[in-house]
Amino acid sequence: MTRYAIVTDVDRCVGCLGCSVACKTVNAVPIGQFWNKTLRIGPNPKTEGGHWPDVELYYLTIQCQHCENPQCVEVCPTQASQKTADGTIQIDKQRCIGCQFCVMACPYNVRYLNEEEKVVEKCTLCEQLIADGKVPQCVSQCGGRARYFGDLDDPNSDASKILAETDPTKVYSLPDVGNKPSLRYILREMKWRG
Amino acid sequence: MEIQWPLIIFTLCICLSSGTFSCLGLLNMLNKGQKLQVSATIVTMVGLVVGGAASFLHLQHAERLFNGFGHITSGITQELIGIAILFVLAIVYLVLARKGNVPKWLSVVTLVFGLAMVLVMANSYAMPARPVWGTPLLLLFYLAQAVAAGGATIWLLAAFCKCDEAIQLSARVTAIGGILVVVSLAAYAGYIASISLPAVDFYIDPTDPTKQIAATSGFGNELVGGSLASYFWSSLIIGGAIAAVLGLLRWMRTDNPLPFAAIALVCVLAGGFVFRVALYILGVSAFVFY
Repeated sequence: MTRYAIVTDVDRCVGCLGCSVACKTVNAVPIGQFWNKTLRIGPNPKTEGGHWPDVELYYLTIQCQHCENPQCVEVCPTQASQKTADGTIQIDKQRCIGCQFCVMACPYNVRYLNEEEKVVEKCTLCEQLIADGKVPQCVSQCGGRARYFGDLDDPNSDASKILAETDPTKVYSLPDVGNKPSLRYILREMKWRG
Repeated sequence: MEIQWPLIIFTLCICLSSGTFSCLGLLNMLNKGQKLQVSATIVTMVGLVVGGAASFLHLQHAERLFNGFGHITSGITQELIGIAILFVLAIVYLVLARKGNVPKWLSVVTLVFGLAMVLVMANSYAMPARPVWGTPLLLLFYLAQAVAAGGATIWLLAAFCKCDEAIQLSARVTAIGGILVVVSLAAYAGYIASISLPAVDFYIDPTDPTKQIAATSGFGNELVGGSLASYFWSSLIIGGAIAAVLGLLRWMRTDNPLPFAAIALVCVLAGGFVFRVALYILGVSAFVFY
């Protein structure tokens, strides 16, 4: 079974927003929407009660987490949102009725209603590129080389290799409300805050 | 999240029509309110149609509705199936009511199915991704609303038809529904006060740097004593307590019931409407920063 995912080495991310911009460019994401968003977490004290200069910050890239148990797929009345054979969640725009229940069912707010087409959209892991053997644009464009794409069930994929090399206690995912997010984040020195 | 007005109208109509149908079934089981059978069934059907039409307004591509529609795990599919069954049941009931012979078993089915429809509808909104919604208390609130709205509707129809036996019983149902609304809202406020979302302390969205940091707790204070206090207390007092008091008053007295019934119904619907708006305002996602 294939489970495509992105592993982000947060320690390497410099917050250049290159991934966000690349995503918008290659996927023609409407103004005001971000299929791939970058947040700056911090500066927060390294220890309880601490203050500058004992602070830390990191950048967190957020996109569809291509969950193992996607609630967006469960609530979709027309099966426009579907989990495909490669483990990614895709939207068949011709089937989408724009009810936006998938938007409500997503805990990460990474689905958007395209006001022009009147359908819901989100990160596709650049399915048009990965089908061609390439990697998602946010991965190839990453200036800090912080993003690793691949099949988590294939030990030879870039994503599996970086996870294998990393202390499992330093590997994180976004909060799980039963949806089991697939994407992973590596943060070694700083305190993971989500 | 953004307030979805069509869905507020939809859930309100389903509570009203399902509650009315259930209350009608209860009356018939007890051999009461024969004069109301036709009018109450018509109110049920009108409620279902108006609610269904409102939910269509929420769809961006309603013309694609049957283009693959039917994913059974979807709450929308379950709601549509439930509405269709309820509507067919109402037609059967109407035909038999006009013949003056609604069997007891159909009354039981009506009672059970009306309440089940409310639970199916409420369950489709009880999403873990929206912590304020993802609780059985949402089901309890909608159920209480259906009991109160159904009781008050039957009460109003009974008052119009001067059907004393139905007035007495429907006033009791309204009172019980009103009390249930108060209890469910109080429990809901307690639950909302206990919600604490994952926090990341300080953060900033570089594409929206002036955006206020999102709250991850304190929703209960907001609801009971903050900016949403008027929504909560008006829902509890107008939508629950007043309806309960009116029902209890009518339960004990026998004077003209029409104004009591009309005020009770308006109060239940207004309170339900206001609390639904509050639920949308508080319906942030589990990971609130994005």
